[in-house]
Amino acid sequence: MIEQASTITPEMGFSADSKRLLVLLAVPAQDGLTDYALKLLEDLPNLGAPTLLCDIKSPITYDDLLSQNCIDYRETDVALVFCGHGSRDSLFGPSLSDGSASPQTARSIFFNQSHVAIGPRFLLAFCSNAARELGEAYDKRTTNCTFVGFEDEIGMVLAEGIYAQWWRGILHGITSEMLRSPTTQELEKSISALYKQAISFFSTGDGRNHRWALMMRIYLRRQSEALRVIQT
Amino acid sequence: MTDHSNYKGNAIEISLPRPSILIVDDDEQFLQAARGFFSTRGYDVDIARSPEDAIEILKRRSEHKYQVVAVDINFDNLESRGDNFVLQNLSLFDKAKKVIFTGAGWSPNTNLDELQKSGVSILEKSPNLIGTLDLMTQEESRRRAKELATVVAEQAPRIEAVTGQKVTVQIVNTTSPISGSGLSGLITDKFKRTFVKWLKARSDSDQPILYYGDKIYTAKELAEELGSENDVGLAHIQMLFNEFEESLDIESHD
Repeated sequence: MIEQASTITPEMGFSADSKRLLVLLAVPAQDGLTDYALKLLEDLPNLGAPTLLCDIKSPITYDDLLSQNCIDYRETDVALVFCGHGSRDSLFGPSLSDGSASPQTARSIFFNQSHVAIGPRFLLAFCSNAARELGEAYDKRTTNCTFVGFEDEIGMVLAEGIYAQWWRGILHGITSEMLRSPTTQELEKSISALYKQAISFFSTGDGRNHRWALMMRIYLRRQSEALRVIQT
Repeated sequence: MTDHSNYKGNAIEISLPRPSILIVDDDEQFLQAARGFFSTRGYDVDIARSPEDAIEILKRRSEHKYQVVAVDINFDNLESRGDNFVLQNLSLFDKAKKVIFTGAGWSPNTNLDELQKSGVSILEKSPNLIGTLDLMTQEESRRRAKELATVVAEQAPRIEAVTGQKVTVQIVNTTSPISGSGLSGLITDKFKRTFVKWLKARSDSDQPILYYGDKIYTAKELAEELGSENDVGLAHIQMLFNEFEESLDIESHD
């Protein structure tokens, strides 16, 4: 079952070659991380394109998700923002089982290398490790596409308040820059600036005194160093 | 992970960076000979068979600092020239010493002045080439260790504040990244104990709050991971060490 939270920005967006642009926010329900990520994406600012937030409750693959929402990848440029659990070659969907197996062994596949051929044109994989083989697949098998992901394990402080505020800024900022920046260098520079700003906040002044400031700094720096941008 | 008995007095030992070299050539026989030689000597050695491959490697390993990048001047593909590749991509080499090696019959070309101005060494591809590259790489490794030692010595008061020990600085011929008796060992062992204490002070809630890799932890659970020195624990010690390095601004440390 998929709950489509809302179409946040109703106006039509168009990409450079005049295809329709759609921003698809996919958060497969799994655990506290995905519950947290869902809240971060709920108030994404206007990106100049229709935005569909999918709270994915049961296993589904990327192509089926497109099909269920009547999205034709030949007519629509999809920008997929995925938040959840990932591996070197896959983005995971909700658990397959009734809970008897461990969550790690029972995860369904939402997106893997078999889906690279049908897009999306922009993919932000906000999860551990996916920049390795999935990123490589994007690099080798796509043209005119952008992939942003992490090539190592990443961490997050899953607390509300100031922490959620900064993660939200990072996530929204990367999404916005991914759609806007024309070159890899520019995109890398913009994203790096987002992380530097957050690290600086938790390193100095009052920001340094927050309860989890140290963990924020080490996880922000880890993400910044593990981030990989691929434009084809 | 780190045994106090390994500490040598109050010395912070600066490990020599692991010798690291990138060789760019389409001569398969030379590449294999060079890789065999440098690998057996403990080098981190990468090879590229074309300038285009080298650019990919340099971009992908932007965090990695080669001490030497050595490039053949001629390739079978006549559109590729080693000297043009080096001059057009100087920013990719970072601080690496740049070497062009030439055939015996090579005569200086129009790029010679520019190569020299850019600090590029030109060596003949003689039987001694691999040995010369070996010496250059080791010299550069020692130079970087000295540079780091100078920075650390300037920061000694801050390190003393963290470790609680008076320190002196020595350069040693080991390459241990986070264990042993070097700077990393001294600091990371202290960090581990401080970090566990810091997390335990935040274990007043059973609510999971920290996500890393594939799991979500309470502060208490993460402290236990640090104590058991598994991959998650070691990764956090390394991240904390990196944070400390950043605060010292000792970026030249490989």
